[in-house]
Amino acid sequence: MTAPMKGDNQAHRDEDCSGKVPGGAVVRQGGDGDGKRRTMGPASAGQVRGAARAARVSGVRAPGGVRPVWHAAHLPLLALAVVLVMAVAAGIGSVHIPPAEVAGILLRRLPFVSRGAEPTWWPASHEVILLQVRLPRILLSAMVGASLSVAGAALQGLLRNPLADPYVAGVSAGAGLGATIAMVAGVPLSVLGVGSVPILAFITAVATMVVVYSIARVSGRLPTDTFLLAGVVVGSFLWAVISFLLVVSGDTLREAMMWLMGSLSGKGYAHVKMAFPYTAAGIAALVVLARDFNLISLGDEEARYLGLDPEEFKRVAILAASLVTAAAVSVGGIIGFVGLVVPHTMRLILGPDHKVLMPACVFAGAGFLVAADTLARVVVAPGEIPVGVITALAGGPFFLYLLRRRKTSGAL
Amino acid sequence: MVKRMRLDVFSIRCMYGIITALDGVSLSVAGGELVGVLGPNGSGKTTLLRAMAGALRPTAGRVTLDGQDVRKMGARAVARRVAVVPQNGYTPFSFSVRDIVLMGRWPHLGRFAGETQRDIEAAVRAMEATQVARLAMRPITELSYGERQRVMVARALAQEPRILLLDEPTSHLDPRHQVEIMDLVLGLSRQEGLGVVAVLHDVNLAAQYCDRIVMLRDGHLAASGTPGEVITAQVIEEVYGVRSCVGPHPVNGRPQAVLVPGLTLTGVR
Repeated sequence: MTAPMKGDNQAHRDEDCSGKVPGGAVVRQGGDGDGKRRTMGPASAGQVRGAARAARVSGVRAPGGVRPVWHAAHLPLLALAVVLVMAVAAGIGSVHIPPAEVAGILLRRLPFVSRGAEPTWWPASHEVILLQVRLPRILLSAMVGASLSVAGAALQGLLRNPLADPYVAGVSAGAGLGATIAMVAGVPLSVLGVGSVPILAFITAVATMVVVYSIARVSGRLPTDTFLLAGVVVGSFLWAVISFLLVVSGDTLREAMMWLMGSLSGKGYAHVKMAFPYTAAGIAALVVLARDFNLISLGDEEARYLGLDPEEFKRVAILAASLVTAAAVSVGGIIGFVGLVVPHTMRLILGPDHKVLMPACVFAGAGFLVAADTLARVVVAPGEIPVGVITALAGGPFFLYLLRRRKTSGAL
Repeated sequence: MVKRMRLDVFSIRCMYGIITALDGVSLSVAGGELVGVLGPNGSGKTTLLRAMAGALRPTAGRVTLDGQDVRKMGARAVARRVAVVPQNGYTPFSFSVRDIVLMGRWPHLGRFAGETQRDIEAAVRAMEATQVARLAMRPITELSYGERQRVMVARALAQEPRILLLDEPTSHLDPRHQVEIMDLVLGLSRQEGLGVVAVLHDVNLAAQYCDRIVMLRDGHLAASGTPGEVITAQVIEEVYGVRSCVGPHPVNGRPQAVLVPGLTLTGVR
């Protein structure tokens, strides 16, 4: 089933590939240089046509295929998994609600299923807990997870650096500064029915992006490495300011720490409503721009040759990414690892094509954070762990495992 | 027959900061022509190509595509007509060869439209022409430099350009693939009326294939004309600072240079 062996290393690689090719039709003649492909006899000409035909038909099952055949088919599966995770999460907590009840309560809320005053088999308290306490929090964590993941994927593609995420870019520190100022200064928690802390966090997050952007800009261009450096430097500076403010303030320390480590505790529909427009608009923009992200991840020069103005695109993409990040940070605090691990994992599983990657990150990010937040509220019940601790505890080792597994190929 | 186009460079000056990379260079290429650009390292060849593709704004002079300034056309409009094969393509992400080649269709696609059958056919044709069709599903990150170079030529062909700009397209290729790529672009220019500008390092390869050759030195035009006019021992000594013997190719009579050991500039004779 494997191609003629050219040595241990070669044999190993071919085995790797043939496992994923139906029928074992391995056509690769060796991946170690041009030298072994000189001959184009009748057999290999046929193989060329075969490969071309396969590429034409569906883009899958081609000879030598290393990428999984099912990458696009994964999106509906991921969406289904997210719905399941949310349903299970809704049942878990200090009061257990069986899955059938969860389904019943939710279905009754849908306008076309509603039966009015028909008696129900579940206690009224369950309905209140589910709809007023758990559901808004689940929706919020789904939104925050999706936002952070998509923003991470966008920044990684944009900067062609798999280490980039909203936190490296400095947005999160910016949002954190706003929130800290609000808490330390004792700004009233609600102005005109909207939380004042998130609004301030949002403003400082966007302001930080503007600062990072203008520092990194060199004579009308935005070089990637300067942008990353500027983000790290500005971020560190803001963290220092935040720490200073926290130390001198004293009594609000615990609240601020909880927020800065990332927590969705005590959030309701007001927060969902506040974050939703920004989240939806930003995510929609980033998903629509998926093809452009493919081009920019080849580098500015090549993107330009293919017809994409790199500077103009970066401005739009950074604005959209900071919008969703700020929305997420302003309601959820600084939840680490989601923006780094989810896009990375999705890229390893589904490949680097942003047309698949962006929507996959929406679903996977949502599911991941809903699960993490559920753990955060049940592990030490009735107390709570900041969800950022859970994401780091779960995400860190998983990330290391993936890195280790792919270390040999060097590809991302 | 698809419409032929011409690309004209009118006495451009290009600067990186305070360093002048190119000064007073003019060049024209029309559909059906293959023009070679030669010159030592750092003589401004790549800068010239970038300016021709509209990726660099000249501080003086201008570049026009059928009379229209490329800097005023917008990147997308230029990319539908002009394709560039850059010298070193690198991405850390493991796109498949097929994905990379299909990106050549981007300037032709609408914002919300997916690739049509016609786009996929263009990509497959380009991959077959450059012998990379059987690598279609391989990640670009796992290919050799030579294979990547051919993939980038395939992507440029998938753009279905009228003008093709190549930056050392054969630098990583073995003799067989060098001849294949040069035969391919020569065929495209003759049969499909493509205008081709190729930056080359190999003087003899340029002499074999090009209709006209432009020699650059320190950002200035050192010589320009047919291979017979440009590839002479005198020009090569002036531009590269090496001694050579130039004689006719035994088969087709094109000039071929053979280097003579010993640099003229250092006085070693």
